[in-house]
Amino acid sequence: MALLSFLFNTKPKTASAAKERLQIIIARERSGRSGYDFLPALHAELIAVISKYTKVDSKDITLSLDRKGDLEVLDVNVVLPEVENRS
Amino acid sequence: MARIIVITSGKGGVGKTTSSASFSTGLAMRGHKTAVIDFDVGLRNLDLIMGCERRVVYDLINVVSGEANLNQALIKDKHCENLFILPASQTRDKDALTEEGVERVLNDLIQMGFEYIICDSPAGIEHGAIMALTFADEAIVVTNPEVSSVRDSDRILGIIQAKSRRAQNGGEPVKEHLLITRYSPKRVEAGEMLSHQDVQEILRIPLIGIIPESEAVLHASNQGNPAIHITGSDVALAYEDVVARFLGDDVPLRFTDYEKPGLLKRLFGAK
Amino acid sequence: MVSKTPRKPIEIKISTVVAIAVIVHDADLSVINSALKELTANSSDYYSEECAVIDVANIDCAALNWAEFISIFKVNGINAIAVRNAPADAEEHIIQLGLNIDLGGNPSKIAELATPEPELEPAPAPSAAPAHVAAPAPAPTMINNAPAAMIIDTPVRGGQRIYARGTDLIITAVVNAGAEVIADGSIHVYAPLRGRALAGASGNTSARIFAMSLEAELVSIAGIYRTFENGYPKLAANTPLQIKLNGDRIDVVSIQSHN
Repeated sequence: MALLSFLFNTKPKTASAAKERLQIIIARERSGRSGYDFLPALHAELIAVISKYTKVDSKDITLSLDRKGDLEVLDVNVVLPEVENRS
Repeated sequence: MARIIVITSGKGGVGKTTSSASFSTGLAMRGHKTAVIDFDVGLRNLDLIMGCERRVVYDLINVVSGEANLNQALIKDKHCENLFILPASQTRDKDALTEEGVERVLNDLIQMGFEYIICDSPAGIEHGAIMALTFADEAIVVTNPEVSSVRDSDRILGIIQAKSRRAQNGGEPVKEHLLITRYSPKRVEAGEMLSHQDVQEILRIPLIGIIPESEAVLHASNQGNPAIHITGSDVALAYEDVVARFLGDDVPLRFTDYEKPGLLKRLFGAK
Repeated sequence: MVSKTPRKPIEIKISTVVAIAVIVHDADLSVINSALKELTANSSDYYSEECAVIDVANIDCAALNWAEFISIFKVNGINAIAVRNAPADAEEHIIQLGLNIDLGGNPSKIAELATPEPELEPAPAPSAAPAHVAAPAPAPTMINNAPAAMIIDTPVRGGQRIYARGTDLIITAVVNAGAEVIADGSIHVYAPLRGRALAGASGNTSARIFAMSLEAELVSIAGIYRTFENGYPKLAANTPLQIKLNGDRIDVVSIQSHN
């Protein structure tokens, strides 16, 4: 087995991973190129809105952009405080 | 006692960001709380090499200008819980990166308990590069064994001696380390490439390590994984040696000698 | 808050500015242009941070086109701010072109301006040598306590410049390519000399340059310079050398030479 893999010189094919990452990040940067990167503002507004209903900190909300197939998906993760602390 | 270390070179494309990523990862893996900051203004690279580009919300200039605090901007590394990344700003002008602002950010990081703060410098000797080296306690000067890289490294050493806070306050000088990257022992032996001794003879600073030219670096950046994570590769081992030497271990140099591969290996493509 | 006393908008203080003197030996503008290009070959902004005084004592200025002359320096990145030893009838023209008249090289002329002609002077003293005439001109005093040599122990890196004013310069570490070391006295480099070395910077023609290994881009003594684009003198490889001025020629000889 070792000899076979040796013969066929398997190199990791990481270029496709690179391409996928680039597609996402460049799409995001292009859309923001008109000057306004909306994620920080969105982050701040989400904190403000959710804080009206329950106590949250900036570190409880994380945002990320992802690509799933042909779609670009905005992932918003909100960690709500434990029941006693909600109001 | 927290240490601020700048990774700089003068010349572009020699391996600063690759080295910043692996060096800070190596320190964090050894249990030290480490922050790594991208000091470029306008171009962002460190996040891509570390694989956290999708989690960037706030950047260094957001923090300097008070639009965000460090807790919001620092990104926790996906592999290493001791490691945090502060990305560069892509959309601002360099005047927004003020010296007082940088000093405040570094002091805040020290207050937060970071033991090592790695400043990934951009290429050149302009504002971003100067800001990255101004507050450094130590400098790792990344150099390819190639004439313009060596000359630019010499230049940046002169600038560190003149423009760092330590130099201007007359304090203990910035501790300088030479990191040679993209080293090919085969080409050195063939007389095509400067040897590490040649580079040392011109730059005259202590050598902290030699990173061999390797395909692993490309695969690492493709995947968004610092090269030190490509376990068993020559590059990973070389970066581990660098971290060990930095922390005081006496580690002999490796990957400096060319061993001609045997006939069978050469038939199957080894170089 | 501490209250501030009102400050004047402008203050005048005595300040020292390091300037270079460019001594011109040929009135042909194209020759000057080529020489300047050769001097600043590697970086046209090499002298852009200094002020330059152009000394025309050695050329015939009668037919000189001052406007073109001055512009050649600016084009080559030399910040000409004054002209020295220009003929009196050219001074007004030079001032109109925006440069000063510099008296720095002419003590007798400074004396002439400093001491007003006494009104009772019976016969007009020749203005060429007022320093020797009755009116007590302040004689230039020779101060004989030369400062100790400047000693540098760390490598001099590309882009750095060291100037030992009024004394010798001793360097025990390498002078790298792109660095410039300057002294009014002699320069001693106990290591390879790779950058540029300018000894006798204020005109001392007996200054010398010593180097363990000559790999310099340019050497100069009292303003006379030599580059090594066509290689180094045969005896130079890895032997300690001295560089000295022989008339207007730069000689590179071994340290043991006594010519």
